[in-house]
Amino acid sequence: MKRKNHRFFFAGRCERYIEEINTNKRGEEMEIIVCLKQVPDTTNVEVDEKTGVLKREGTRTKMNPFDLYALEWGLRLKEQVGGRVRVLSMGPSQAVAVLKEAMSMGADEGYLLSDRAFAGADVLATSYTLAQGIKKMGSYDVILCGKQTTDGDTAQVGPAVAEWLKIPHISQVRDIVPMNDCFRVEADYGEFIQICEIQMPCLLTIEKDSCVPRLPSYLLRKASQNREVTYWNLSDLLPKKNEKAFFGLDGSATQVERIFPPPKKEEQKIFRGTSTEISFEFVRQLQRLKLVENDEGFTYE
Amino acid sequence: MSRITVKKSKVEHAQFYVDSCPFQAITADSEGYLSINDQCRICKLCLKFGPDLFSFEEDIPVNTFHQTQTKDIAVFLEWQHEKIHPMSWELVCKAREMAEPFQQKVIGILVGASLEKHKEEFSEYPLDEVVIYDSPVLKYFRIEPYTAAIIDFIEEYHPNVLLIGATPLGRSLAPRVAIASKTGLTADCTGLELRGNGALIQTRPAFGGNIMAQIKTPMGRPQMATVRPHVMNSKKVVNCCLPKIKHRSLEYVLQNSRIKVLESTLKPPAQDLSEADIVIAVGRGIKRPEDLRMIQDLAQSLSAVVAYSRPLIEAGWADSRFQIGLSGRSIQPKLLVTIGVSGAVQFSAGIQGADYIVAINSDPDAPIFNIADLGFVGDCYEIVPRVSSLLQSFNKER
Repeated sequence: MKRKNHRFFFAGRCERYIEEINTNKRGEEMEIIVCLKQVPDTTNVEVDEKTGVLKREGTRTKMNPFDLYALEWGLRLKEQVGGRVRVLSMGPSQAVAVLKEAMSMGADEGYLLSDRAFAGADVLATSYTLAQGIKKMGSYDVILCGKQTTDGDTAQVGPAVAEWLKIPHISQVRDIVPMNDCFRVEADYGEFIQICEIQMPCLLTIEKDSCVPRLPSYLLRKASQNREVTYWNLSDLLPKKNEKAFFGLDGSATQVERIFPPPKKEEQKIFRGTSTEISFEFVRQLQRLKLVENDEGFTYE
Repeated sequence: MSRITVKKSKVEHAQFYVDSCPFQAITADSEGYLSINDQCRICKLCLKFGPDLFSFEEDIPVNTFHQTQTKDIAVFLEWQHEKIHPMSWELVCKAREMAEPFQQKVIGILVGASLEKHKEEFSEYPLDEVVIYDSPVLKYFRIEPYTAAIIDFIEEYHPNVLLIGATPLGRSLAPRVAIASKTGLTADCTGLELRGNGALIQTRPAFGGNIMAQIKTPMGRPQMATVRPHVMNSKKVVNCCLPKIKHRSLEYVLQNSRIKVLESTLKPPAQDLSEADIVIAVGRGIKRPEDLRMIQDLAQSLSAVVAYSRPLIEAGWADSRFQIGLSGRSIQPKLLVTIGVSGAVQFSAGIQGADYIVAINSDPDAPIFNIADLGFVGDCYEIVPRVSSLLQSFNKER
């Protein structure tokens, strides 16, 4: 019990006691899958109000920053108990870059689900496609996902994948201790914190800042440069006959009806003056808004 | 498969079309022939150039549900640690507002343990019916039993709309329910509207809040949305009669879970941003952590809560519970004073609910002045201490 309290107050700490690691040694190797997404490097997008066209600067992409924490936990689990880390992504063929990056950080194998038929997918279709890919990848003990992405920002695809695979999941995990046949995890629900044991196989989405992701290594990058990534397209992921498939736009339940720029407020005022004038105007406005009680004896200069 | 195709492939000014695609999905060869590559995400923006050029080929999907059989709006009442989350009442009030014109019912779903004592609360909010799943098994949030309870509810009631708060718990639960029901889910909505044909129009910020997207769910029922906290208004009602209360037996609810909760602890209370009438938000205009002292002085004389923009939180100046913005919290104070905040869209996404925004920034071109109701162009290091001393002398005079 004492140790548990300690863990609570030092939540998210990555340091492990040696004996803890030893007791966690499993007989078999752990199969770890980490889901990654390639996202635009910037969220700096605007809509041209007249034409409705998206104005997007640059074409640079990067690995979803939240996924780095999931990958780091995957690599740490592998180092603690042995096993292998396989990384999975879905996207256009350029998304192979994030898989290569993960390999240069220590991931063993990369899988990319890429097909034009996967485009335009919402939560339902995205999670379905990923789940089909995971099923094809074979057995696994744990799937790790970032808590959310910086472009979609839904935080929903991870739990949705778990439902397709019918495995338990815990969201916003900030600490993982591997036990014999389960993980002891600490999940941050905003207002409260739960410490749970979850049996394998399971899916965990990882809270940001729950660890410090390692940097890619030059040696690993060189070593993984020629390693092949497995590409799967629509025909590889088709379900058994008689089963309904949910790929891409056609498999999506939601539709974007229209997009528009966020509303601007009317009647703005900009006040310029010396700092003293500004201070007095500020207080006057507070009084006008009845946020400070009005006092007749108070005079402005 | 649905996709966008290029019809007349040779065009003048090919580069114009290439540039117009936000996903670099349109390519042109040297002769001006356009084609679409696998980057296409079917955003349909190119369709505005007309059907002569781009057209959308759609597979008409078969509707797998019976729209007419679904009615009413269901709201998940989030219960943890002996309390119903205030977010739930925001949803109930919004649901009532949408349901009223169509004579639909608002049904609450409450999942938890020892829930008898909450009956009083039901009468304060405009609910028609509450369905209760009450069992010691459901004391702590565990994903499988909670999902099973909601699925049981959906199968019994066939709601047209199901709303869940976009809290960490709601964002964990909602996708599982949506996938199990093979329906759509829109995350983190900031606006909801019910149309006469029963379609729920869900508005949410996309691309980091730079764009608002209106989303509908033509393909599945219930239409599910998680709703951002503090966007909808909750209002108690007086003289409301007690809603019909129905207990569902646990027979239908999965009791086995592969998750064991060892402990569940409330985080220590902090003065809450969401309930503050006045919030002072500081950004990178504050140079050093020591300078926060003058902000705290001002906050004290205004009884305000201090919030921070993301760079300061990332620098470790304050707990992330006090971060506002897209990756932090949305707030709805009566007055928001921003000091040294440039007003990047990620930040402004979190302050849309503020009634009145006063911005102090030394840069007259800072985007914060586009959203502020009142802007002061000046040096906060000079202004803030002066305002504090004015307010203090004023307080003393009284």
